[in-house]
Amino acid sequence: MTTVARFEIKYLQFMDEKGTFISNDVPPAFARDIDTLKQLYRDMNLIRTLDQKAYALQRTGKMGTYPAATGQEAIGVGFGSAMTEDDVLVPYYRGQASMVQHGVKMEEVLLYWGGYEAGCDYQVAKQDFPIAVPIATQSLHATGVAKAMQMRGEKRCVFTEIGEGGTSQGDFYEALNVAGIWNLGVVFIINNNQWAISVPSKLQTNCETYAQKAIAAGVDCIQVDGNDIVAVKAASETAADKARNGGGPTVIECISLRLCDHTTADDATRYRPEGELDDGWKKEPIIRLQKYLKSKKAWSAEDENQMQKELAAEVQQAVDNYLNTPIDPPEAMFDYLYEELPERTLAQRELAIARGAK
Amino acid sequence: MAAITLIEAVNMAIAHEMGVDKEVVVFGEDVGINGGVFRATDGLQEKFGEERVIDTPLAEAMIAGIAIGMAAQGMKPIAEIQFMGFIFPAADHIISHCARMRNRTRGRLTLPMVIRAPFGGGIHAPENHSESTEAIFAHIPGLKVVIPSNPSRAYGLMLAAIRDPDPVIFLEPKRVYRIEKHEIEDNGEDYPLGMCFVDREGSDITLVSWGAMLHETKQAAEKLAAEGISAEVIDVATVSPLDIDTILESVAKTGRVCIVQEAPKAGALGSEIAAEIAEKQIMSLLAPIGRVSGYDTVIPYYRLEKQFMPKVQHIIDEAKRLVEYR
Amino acid sequence: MNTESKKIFNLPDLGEGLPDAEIVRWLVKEGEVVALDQPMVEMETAKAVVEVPSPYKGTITKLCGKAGDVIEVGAILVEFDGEGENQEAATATPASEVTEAVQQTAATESPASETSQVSDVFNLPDLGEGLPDAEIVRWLVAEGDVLALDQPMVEMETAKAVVEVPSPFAAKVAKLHGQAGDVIEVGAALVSFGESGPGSVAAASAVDKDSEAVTESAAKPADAATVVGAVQVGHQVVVESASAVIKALAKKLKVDLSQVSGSGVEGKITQADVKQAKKDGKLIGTKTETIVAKSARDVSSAPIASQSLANENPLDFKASPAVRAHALRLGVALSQCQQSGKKGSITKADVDLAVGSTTSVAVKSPVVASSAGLPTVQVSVEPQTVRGVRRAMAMGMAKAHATVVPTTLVEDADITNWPKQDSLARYVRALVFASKIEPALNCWFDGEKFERLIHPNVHVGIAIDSPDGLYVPVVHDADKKDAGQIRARVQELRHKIENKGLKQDDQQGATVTLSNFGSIAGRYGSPVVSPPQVAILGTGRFRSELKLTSKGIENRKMLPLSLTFDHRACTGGEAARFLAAIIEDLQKAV
Repeated sequence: MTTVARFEIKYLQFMDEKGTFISNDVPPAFARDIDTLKQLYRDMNLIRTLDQKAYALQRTGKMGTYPAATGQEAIGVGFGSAMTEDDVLVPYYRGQASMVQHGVKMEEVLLYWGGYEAGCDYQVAKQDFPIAVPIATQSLHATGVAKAMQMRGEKRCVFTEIGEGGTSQGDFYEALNVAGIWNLGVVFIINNNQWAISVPSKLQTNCETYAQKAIAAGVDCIQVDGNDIVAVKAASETAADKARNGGGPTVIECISLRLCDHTTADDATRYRPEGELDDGWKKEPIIRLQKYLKSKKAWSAEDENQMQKELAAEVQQAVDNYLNTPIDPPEAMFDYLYEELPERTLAQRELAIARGAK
Repeated sequence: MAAITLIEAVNMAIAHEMGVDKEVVVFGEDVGINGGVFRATDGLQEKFGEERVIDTPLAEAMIAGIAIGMAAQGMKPIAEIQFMGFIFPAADHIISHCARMRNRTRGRLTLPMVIRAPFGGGIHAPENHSESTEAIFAHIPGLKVVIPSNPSRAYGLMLAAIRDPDPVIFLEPKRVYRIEKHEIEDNGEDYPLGMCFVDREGSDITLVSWGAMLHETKQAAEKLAAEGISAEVIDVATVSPLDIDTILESVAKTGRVCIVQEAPKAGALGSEIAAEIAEKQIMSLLAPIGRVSGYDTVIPYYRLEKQFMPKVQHIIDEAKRLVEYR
Repeated sequence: MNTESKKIFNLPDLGEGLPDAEIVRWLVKEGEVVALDQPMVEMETAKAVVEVPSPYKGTITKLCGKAGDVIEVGAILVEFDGEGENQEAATATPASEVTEAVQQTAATESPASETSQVSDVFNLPDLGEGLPDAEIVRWLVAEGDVLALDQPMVEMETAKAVVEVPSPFAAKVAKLHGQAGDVIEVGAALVSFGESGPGSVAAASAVDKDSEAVTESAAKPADAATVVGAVQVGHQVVVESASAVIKALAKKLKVDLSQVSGSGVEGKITQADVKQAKKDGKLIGTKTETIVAKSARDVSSAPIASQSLANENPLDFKASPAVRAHALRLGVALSQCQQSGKKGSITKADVDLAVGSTTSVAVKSPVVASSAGLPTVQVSVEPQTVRGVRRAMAMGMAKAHATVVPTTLVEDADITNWPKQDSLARYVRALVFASKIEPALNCWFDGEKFERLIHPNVHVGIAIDSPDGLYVPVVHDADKKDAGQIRARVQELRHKIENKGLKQDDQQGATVTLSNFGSIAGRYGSPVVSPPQVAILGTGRFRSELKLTSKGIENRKMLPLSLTFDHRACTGGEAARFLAAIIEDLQKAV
């Protein structure tokens, strides 16, 4: 017998949990720019603040179910920062880090989870998709967007994110397959936070890595330390550049850990092993980058304090905007169904208005 | 005897049957160690082990497909789809295979399986978690679709579903999962599938409903009684195959009927019931057949959900309109 | 006054578990200084208008809504400027201890410090799931601690999950209203805040370190969770009636429940009883074809015709909705209609025929709690519109008059030798006999097409008088019936007329007609031929007559006969021969 194919999976990490650059690889240019790193640090903290505020809102009855991205901020901020305005984001339901990076407003995130369809009517990120609740469906949508870009010869790419659990879905494999054969400019980000609600990663697949699912589709892939924002951003920039220039798709598996419950309505203490959280907090992305910045004498307690104040104000502003948004009138249920509402349904619209007025 | 909620009744029925029949197996996402996101399978993995209560990877088509394979081998799988909104990847298997296997093999291969899913709105959930699309499966010959409205029925009908030799889609109205408790003895007694239950006898109008809307319907019946209107309340329970005779008998008695459903109006189960009544019992009708339903719109995000869901007052208004119809 | 000191007061659950309330009117103004408990605003919930008192002594800086606005429980209602010590948010958190920062980001973030007065009370909010109360699992703070905004204070266990409740203020904890294990109702006091002090954050952070350990070793909550949304939890135990299930099971197994004795508690029928009954063959009798309409209320058992119209139950009659509506419009009671439709239903024609026979309307309506008065009696001397059978007669006769050319022959038949017998049956037989001899009178004539159809069979129409008017039902195939059968058929027709059961079929197809006016009065007449028929025989009253015979003067019983025929279709000779044949047959004894 002869061997007709082999594969290997590379792992990329620049910065370890102590905030030290350990890699033999040359860090990308942005990693040597303190201002860029500070901005990334700030952006991750913004998401953390947003998530915590959202939880507080939910606990005080002002927000519906909300899925935080605690501990995974480096992934969304990292790959989101590699995107340009022209690129399109097709997020998954835990995607607020990348969404906010790419121009979705925080209040739009809050509005969505707060039960307002207005939350999907992005004012800035006009071509981005709203989150997909049916798992992995977004992967296929991303390939469609990329196909349009390809057909028009545009120098743009698509980023789409999925949890490691979502990669079990048929839609994910189908998306990889078509991206591979059609050479589509899609960057598939796998957020491997190790948990799919209560199902741990080891029960999800027999693959040693999630990245290698790309191999089955003939697609390039890489695994990165998802808590190392430098690695995430570096890999994303490379993949984005490739995708924009006709180089085809990439799968980037970012390994992290979900440091929060699946959503505000979940209780992870039921299934999470003891000690995992403690351990996880030591490796999380924000503290890691902070350690690095401090090691470069680029970050002080005052800086932290000031930043937290500013972020709180920003988040509060978004919260205020969200809380002040009026509920749609009942006719809104009808007015966006079709370009023109069928006659048969007009009577129902009137009825809804009449009932709503009572 | 324990006083338990609907979701606990589902749990009790599954546990009972797993205890007496080794072929019964439970699987789905988060059903094992977590006991299911609504706790439908709480405690089952502890009791019956990981081999019989299995946490699957995140893939609904796979869940349905595996159930088919196991059932064809004579096992009795109870597969959970976490929310009805996510049943659609599995719909191909359900419609193209579950519904047809007995027919196309002329009875050689049969599928004694249950696919259960929470369905319906009213819990302030994110989108895709509130759908009432039972009509899609009720339309498919070869499937049975069962919807319990209270804990006792959840227990009895679930046992019946597990014991049924054909595929049953068991849809649980999540809005009423915990709304009340019934005293239920874990005696393994199943309820008949394919039958309506007459929950309240009356003479002036028949109110037909299923699932969570039965609660609003019963409330409406109480209020109507206070105004001198005697309403008969029927719980359809088995949405397919439909026991239309019980409904027709009731219409013969009252002459008026109103169907109450959470689902959007067009092409729903209420449409089928109305057509059957018009076809078979038209000589008894003193008024048009009424329907109280959701609108023919996408069910809105939860801020507007209240506007979408039919209310007790709507049922009362429609009942009165029919009773006063000339 | 430190403009940065600010307290917010959120709309609490007004004690009814309702999610929001509408501002009716403000009782205070912005800038006004209010005392503790002074009424600030009237809020209207779905149930009542309630006054909401001020939780603080201080100056109102902002009223967060105007009259008519709907405020959600937990949303900001009023902003105050407090009196007393004001504190900048202490920001001494060591930046390296980010793990604490996670738990208390608010400690370093507050844009404005928030102070509190003595007796600022924070009530347990609705934890977002519409639950009425929650149990304190453990406190994460202690009395005397100074907290930061959003700092987790306590773990509360709802029916579903253990949740952390964050602090609404950056302030010092004055009092914790309960210990671990206590159940606090939504809206009840949970924490009272006092003045803030320096070193607050350090103290808070120390506490927070401990709180991390909390989640690990928290008691396993008995939850009833979900992963999205909020499922309403009720504790009411409802008694489930088993009878609905027993009836359904019996129906499915086709068991006759009246034959089943219950082996359950207090003689209740159990499922096992039903299943046993099936084995024992206690099954429902032959299935009725149609689902019989039964009235659920008492209906008088008198015959329908005499039933009081006020009690008439429309469901006792089969009629389509269109027919019912038609009857309603015309003011016709269903009980007065014949049932000539399929399976005994009332047709539109039946309603039309019945018009004029009653002026009341029967409607099945529920007994509404109001007194029933006496029916009004209508006294009218106005002209009556002629409807139904009478109208049909008027139209039919007019048409006959316009087309038929009538000629009448009269003669008597000597029926002295008749034993007692049904005369009507004899008349029919005579017509049959005559039709065989002179078929020209047993035919249909079309005066426009100039066609005639000589019938091989004899279908005798028989004029029958009834309270409603003139009916002419038909004895079909009289030529194939013997006297007994003819008699039976006539009886049947009479019965049907009486019971309004006469069908269309019963009234169609006559080839020749008999009018037995003699049963009432009259010797000879010129009865009207009903086109397309060409003949009608009128039979008059029997009389005794002295006759001169070859044997001398005898008392004979005579039956007068009048035969009117349509002279367009028949000749005089044909008619005379027909009449002669009738007489011949009638004069036979039997």
